[in-house]
Amino acid sequence: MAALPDDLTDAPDEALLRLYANGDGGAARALTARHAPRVMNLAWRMLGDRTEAEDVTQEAMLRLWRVAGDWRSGEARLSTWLYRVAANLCTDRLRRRRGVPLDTVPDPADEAPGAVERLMAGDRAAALQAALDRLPERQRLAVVLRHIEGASNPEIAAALETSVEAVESLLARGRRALAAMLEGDRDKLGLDR
Amino acid sequence: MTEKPKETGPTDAVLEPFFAAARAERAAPSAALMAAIADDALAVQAGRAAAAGGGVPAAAATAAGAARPASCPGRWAAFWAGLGGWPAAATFASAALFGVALGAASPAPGALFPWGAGAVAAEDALFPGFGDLLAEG
Repeated sequence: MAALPDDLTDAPDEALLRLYANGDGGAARALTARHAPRVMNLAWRMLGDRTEAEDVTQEAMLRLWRVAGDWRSGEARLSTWLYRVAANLCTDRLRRRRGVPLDTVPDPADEAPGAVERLMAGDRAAALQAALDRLPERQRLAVVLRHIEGASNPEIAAALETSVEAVESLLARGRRALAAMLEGDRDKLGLDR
Repeated sequence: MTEKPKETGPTDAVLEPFFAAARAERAAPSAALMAAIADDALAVQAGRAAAAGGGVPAAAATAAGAARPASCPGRWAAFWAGLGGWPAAATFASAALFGVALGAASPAPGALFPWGAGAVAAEDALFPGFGDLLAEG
């Protein structure tokens, strides 16, 4: 993508969206540069598949372009709205995957297809991904948004359309499950106990 | 918006090195994806401009299950469409108008049905007995 003018790079999301709705193509590029990587990363963490994550990212951004002209100022944060759209798209895809034998019953981490290779490679991020893949969808979403994307609990609550208390509960359960799955791998991954 | 979560207990101490590794390893969108997104943006923009030029408001697409940040067709619009919309309303209005005209004209018996009272009598002959039932209460 071509370099963006500073005034667009620093402009607030809503101002950029308004500019885009009024015909400014540069504003769309600024919004894409700002938000597509976040959506892409969330989708990749949720789906574990780069191609699918790209599809979700493109679809989420397309929906943003379509609502741009009717966006109500102050009603929702654009980043939260995009997370919500991406989360819903990921959930839809994960539900469609059900019925595929490999995804029906989660296996223990050491036996999960692909997990051994990931652990053998000694990649902590890959080990985390293997564990994330086995969390229930909403726990996974909450954990990824909080601990990888750095979203606040109220933002996650808005994205998941639930309460902050429910997010705290999802996070607590998600972290406990992840810790149980990963604790035994700390030695292999060069982490002191 | 990025906010590094605080560690709150032994669970977080176990997980933080994994989260740190994951934060460092991000799936960046490819140049082709960024170009495709930009193309989408321009296409939607062009469509919106064309629709505005034709006097038709651009449709607001909404995310599946996501909050609607903008006005969108409401339940009444869906209900109206379910009834058949304007074509159904026109048909209904025509039928009502015909009924009113019929009542106002008060035509003589047989004027509207040129096949005459004989046909009605023949129909009665096909379904005898109902009049008797009514008469008996």
